[in-house]
Amino acid sequence: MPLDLTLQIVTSGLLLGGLYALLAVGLTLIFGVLRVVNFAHAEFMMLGMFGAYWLWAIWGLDPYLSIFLVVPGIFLLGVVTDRLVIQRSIGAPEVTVVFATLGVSIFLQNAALTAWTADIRSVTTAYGSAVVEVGGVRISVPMLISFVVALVFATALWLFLNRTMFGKAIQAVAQNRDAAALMGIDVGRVYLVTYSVAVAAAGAMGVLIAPLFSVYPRVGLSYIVTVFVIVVLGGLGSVVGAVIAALLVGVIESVVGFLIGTAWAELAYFLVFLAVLVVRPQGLLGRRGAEVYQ
Amino acid sequence: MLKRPHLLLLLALLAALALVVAACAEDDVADEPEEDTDDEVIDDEDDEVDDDDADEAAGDVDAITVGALFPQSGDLAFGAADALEGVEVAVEMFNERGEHGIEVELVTADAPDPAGGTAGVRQLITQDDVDAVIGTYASAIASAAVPAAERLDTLYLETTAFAEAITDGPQNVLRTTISSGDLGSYAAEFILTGIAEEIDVAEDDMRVAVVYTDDEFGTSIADAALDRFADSGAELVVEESYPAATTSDLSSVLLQIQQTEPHAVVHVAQVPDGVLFWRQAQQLDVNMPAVVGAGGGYGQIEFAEPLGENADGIFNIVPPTSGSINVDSLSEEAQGLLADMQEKLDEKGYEQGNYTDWAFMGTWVFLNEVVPNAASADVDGFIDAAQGVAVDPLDSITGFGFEFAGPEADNAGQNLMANPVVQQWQDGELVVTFPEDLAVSEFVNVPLPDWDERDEEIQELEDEEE
Amino acid sequence: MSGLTSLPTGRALRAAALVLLLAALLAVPTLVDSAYWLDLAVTVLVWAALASAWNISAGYAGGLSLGHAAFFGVGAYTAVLLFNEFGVSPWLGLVVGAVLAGLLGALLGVITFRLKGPFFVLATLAFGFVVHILAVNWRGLTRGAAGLTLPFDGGAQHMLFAELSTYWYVGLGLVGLVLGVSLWIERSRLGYYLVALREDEDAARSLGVRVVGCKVIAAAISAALTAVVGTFYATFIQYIDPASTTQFELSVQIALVAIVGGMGTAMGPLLGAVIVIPLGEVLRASLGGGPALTVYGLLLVVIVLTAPNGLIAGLRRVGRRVAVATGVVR
Repeated sequence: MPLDLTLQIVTSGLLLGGLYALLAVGLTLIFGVLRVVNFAHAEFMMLGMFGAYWLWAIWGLDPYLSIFLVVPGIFLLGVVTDRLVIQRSIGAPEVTVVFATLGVSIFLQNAALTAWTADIRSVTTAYGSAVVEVGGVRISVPMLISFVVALVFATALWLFLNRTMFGKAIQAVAQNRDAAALMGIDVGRVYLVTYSVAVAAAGAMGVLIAPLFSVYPRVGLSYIVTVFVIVVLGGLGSVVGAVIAALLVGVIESVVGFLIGTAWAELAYFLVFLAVLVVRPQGLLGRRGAEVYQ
Repeated sequence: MLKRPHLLLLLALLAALALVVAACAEDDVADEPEEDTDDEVIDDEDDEVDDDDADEAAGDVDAITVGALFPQSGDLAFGAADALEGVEVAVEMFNERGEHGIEVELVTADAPDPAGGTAGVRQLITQDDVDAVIGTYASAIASAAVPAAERLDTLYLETTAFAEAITDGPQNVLRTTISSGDLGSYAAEFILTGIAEEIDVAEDDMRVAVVYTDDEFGTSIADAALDRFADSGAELVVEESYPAATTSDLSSVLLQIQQTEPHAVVHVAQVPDGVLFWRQAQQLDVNMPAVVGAGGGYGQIEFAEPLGENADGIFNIVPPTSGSINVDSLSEEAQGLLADMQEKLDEKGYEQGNYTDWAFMGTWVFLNEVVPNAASADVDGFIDAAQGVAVDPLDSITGFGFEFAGPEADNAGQNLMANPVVQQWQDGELVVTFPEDLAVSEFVNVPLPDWDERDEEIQELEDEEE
Repeated sequence: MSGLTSLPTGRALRAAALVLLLAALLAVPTLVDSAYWLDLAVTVLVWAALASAWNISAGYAGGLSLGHAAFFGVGAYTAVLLFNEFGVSPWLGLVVGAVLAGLLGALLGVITFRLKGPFFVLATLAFGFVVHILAVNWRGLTRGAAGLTLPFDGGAQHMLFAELSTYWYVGLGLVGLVLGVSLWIERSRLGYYLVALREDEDAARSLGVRVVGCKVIAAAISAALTAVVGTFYATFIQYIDPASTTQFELSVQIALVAIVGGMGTAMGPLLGAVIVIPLGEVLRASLGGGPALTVYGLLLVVIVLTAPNGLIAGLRRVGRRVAVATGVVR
């Protein structure tokens, strides 16, 4: 394969991985702290896309401006969801933990279908197809922006978790909820902030990809399953692992898609996913013991 | 609770009893397949219908009931509404004109999915006593509903679903619209002849690519196109399928196209992946001299709008509709029919879409050309009468004619005149560019300009959006 | 419950009620003369059997599966393919499908028995996707998304019936079969082991329960029964495609029915089907697909949060209160 083609394929994969990372980081954080697999995660992304679309369609607001309106909105929705559903499922029977967020996902998806029909809508911007060319490799500007945002978000999150008191409190809750509560940490508040920040990041991703991808109620489906694969590969609960796994999966998808074909690439990564779950449930990069589910 | 052994015993008895009853009920049916059913209620009704039929002489049907089976709830309901409205308007106009002295009653049933299709057919035929079922908009639902109607010996008029399987075996079906296989082979044919000539490449030197979604729509069209290419001297350089619902990146497909430089690409897509394909093609600077869609996403304004001027010159192959052809070339009778239909649509507050046209015209031909000539209002009578149908393309508001394949044919009941036309996106509209007598415009952008030659003035595009 | 069985009057009453119920069930096709409602009734049976089969691995063994559509699909495709390609009667296809699915279920059980909570759920989800992707893309075998039609070569010997009522009786037999297996497991040693495992795996292991064996057997039985329902569905609708037999949404719905009714009990999933399926149909018919599923989602959230044991638990409480109030039990 010629070098510039190889570089182009890898770059496309990395950019795609950046999109996945923004979702995966939040999903893995929620799991690490709350021990909840958030099946509804991609629905918040979908709502972010719809937010961007409507603000653009009605007031002509550019997605890069409307992000400052949409993300706080999704954050609030996260607060509501956390209060109404997530907090009530903590410590409940396993079936509750697993199916509560699945119910939220079905609810949000079909509420969007009811409100806005299954019509497919697209945001059109002047820069939607803008490209920067670096040494023969073409990089989509909106993809690059979301890639940078994803990395900045992941880094900020990592610094926050490791350098601030509140971040350390979150980590303490993740490691041992009861002990953290005894130490005077407000566990409920930690949960609330974690969940809302994570879904707000998903909403932000929705806004960022709006100039490129069409929005419709079931759009979350194209991401959520891939993102599950990513967070398990990266080790559920590991922020750094999620980023690395996201980029890895992006590149694999791109390379396998080019060499073998898109139809079978999906099958391949599900099989890898199953194998990892079975052989090394803590994930390729996760800490040993992280998979122990309390 | 009952003691467990008792409960178990009872359950075992229940299971055994159920099987015995089942076997008994079935025995009679199996022995005498010609006889009607054992169920008393249904039996009576069916007999009545049969008696009526026996009394009727050729061409002497004076009243029929037809059942419209379309998705009226669920994800497909939105698109299917047009089709149902087309049927409704056709029946009403037929009754109002009263030319044949036949009274038609219309009942409807909801079929949101294949299981709903089977259930809907049963309801229409055994409950509402319809003489024919008209459907279906969605191929998967039709694939379940047509055999279900065949089991109940009832005619199925398919006006709007494209699946191959619908006319691949069942003996009770008349399909007025095209099959997806014909659509696919026509797309390939157009590339090998029309496009090859336009870009001045010999058929044997053509390089082609086929990219499609892995759903029924995509695979059946692509299979037929691939077959046609295999029979030609053209070289197939890319064949890729992908799941429309879960694909968020098509760059690997596009890079394959960039590497192999096909002269023409067949792309069968839904809307989101269709838009994504073109946006990524522009980003990656993938140049394709000609791209041919086959309905689905490529036929919808939601596909062309986000692409703006970049959609100009993209081909789409579908059966024609009054909205896309030059209606002035139609016969006066057809123009009058079209005007009447549009008046009726306005009256009822309905929008006219592609599916309105196909469903209306299919139903109209059935009511005016088949029913009055049927010896009896049953599947044999209708199928026999259908053999005599010959409607000229210019006598139809859709611009395609009607003539049904005989019962002996492999595709029994298929409308052999449902030829597609070549449309092109031009200035945000789909217009027919081939064949000439229906065309409203010449080809533009053949071959499509390379991305770096395209007008970079995106300002213009934005103004259109406003 | 055990308190009730000790009373002769209670037992007699229950037996009488049960006989009445059976008679009513058998009489349904004669009472319901609408094809629409009888169709819906058979659909309820399909879901009752599916939810019960799911309950065997999820409710008793604690393995919450989101991949059961895979087994349903295996049952449906095996029977249809055997019939279409080799003329093998679906009655036999049913057995072959069940064996195949049972083996697949056992295999999945073997590789996932160590996984807990969300990890197990995600593994079953991935397994479901693998089978779905195969059904869509292995077009030489399955004809992909175009689906397969089961030609009507009429006759009970091919499990194809002209009469809707016959499907009702066969479906009733099917529910009886799954319920019978469930009750047998409940009262067998396997059932006690499974419950012990579900409640505290380490404690059960230390008491000598063979963890892997029990879980794998439960998974295999559950998968095999699900496949049997798949075959029945295929002969009922006589058309199958990946969207209606192997899709993820189907797995979710199976679980939803069982959870709403009450998992871990034999009757819960049946109750779930009787409530959820007609409710869904009425909602869909009156509101449309989107709003109906919106209500579904909400229902799922509310049920798992407020009554994780399902409606059957509430029904039992009411039943007991009525029994006490009427003096049937003291």
